[in-house]
Amino acid sequence: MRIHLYGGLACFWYLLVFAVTTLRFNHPGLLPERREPAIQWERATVIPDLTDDLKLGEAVRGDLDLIGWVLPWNLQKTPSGDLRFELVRPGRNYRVTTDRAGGRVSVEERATGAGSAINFMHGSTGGVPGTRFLQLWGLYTDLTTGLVLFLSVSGVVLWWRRARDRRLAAVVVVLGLLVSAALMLRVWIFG
Amino acid sequence: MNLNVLIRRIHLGSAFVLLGFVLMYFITGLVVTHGAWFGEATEQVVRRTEPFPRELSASPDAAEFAIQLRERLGLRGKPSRMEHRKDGSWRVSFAHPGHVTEVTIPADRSPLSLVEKHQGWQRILVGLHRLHGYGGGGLYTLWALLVDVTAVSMIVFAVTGVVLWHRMTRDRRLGWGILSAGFVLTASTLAYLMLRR
Repeated sequence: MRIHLYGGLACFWYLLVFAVTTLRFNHPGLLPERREPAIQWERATVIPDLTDDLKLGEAVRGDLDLIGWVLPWNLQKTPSGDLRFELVRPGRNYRVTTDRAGGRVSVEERATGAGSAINFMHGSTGGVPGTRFLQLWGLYTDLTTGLVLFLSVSGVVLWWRRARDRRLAAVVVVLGLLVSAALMLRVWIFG
Repeated sequence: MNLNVLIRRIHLGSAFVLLGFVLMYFITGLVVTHGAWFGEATEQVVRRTEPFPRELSASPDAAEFAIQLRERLGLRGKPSRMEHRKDGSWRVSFAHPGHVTEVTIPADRSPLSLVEKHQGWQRILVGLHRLHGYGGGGLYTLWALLVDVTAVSMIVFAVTGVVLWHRMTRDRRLGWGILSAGFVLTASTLAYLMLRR
């Protein structure tokens, strides 16, 4: 009972995030993804001499203290040897252009709203490149997944022990599971 | 009726509504978040052509066109949005877990080209997990409705669970500690994503 109780409390916030994001997937207008106006900024920096464009993009990201994925399919090399790339992460996108001769990097930054940030929290376990902090959320997600599976079983056991009419209890649980499974099979096999 | 009994019944009721879908979501979620553990899904691709079904009454930009096309071609799956391509052709895909059919409709209504992809069990589980949104026929509307019911039940289940804990326990220090830790992590993760440059 105590494990069920405190395990449930540990899951509470994740379950709320999971439920809200699930509603959002069904109703995208609930928390729409936005493209805020772009903000331009520059920073003086020494651009490393790397031949691999992806590694160069990641090095520039680290130097700018940004986080996110460098999109490998959007790497553009200019005739002067500079690199233009997109960096994306939940909540914000960047378009980065290096200026090797001027020793500067210019960045076009755009916030994408709470919708994209909260989507990440639905089920991300891998974190975001450039930061370790978000791996904590991944750990929490994994912990919650295990706990929810455990709590589903322990909840049914606890209820079974207290149920006055166990036959009815069994019928309710089995029927619920069968109806859900039948619908999933129907969608899978017959589309 | 005693308030504790009422809250417990709501908690139980919402749990029963949730049980089947929550088990599905959290099991299939493992394949979504830890795909590498389960290996690469196999994929069989079959390409074929079909004559343009002349009896279609809707135009490709109408919402019912995809449904009519699915019926005429004997396809299965939830239709995507119709995509109008630069060369004047249209493209739509029909997906159900583990199976995708992409249909390209040439601008001159010459034979349609179909690409059918049969995917392995990993993609079936991912497909079940990611199926959402209204539209696409009665089955998918029912599914979307159950997804909504599951999400709302989850909120009711979580909130009544906390209320039950609060009413059943005298020494709440450990519980408040766990709840606060969860709140701090959730709020700081969201704030980090929203506010970090």
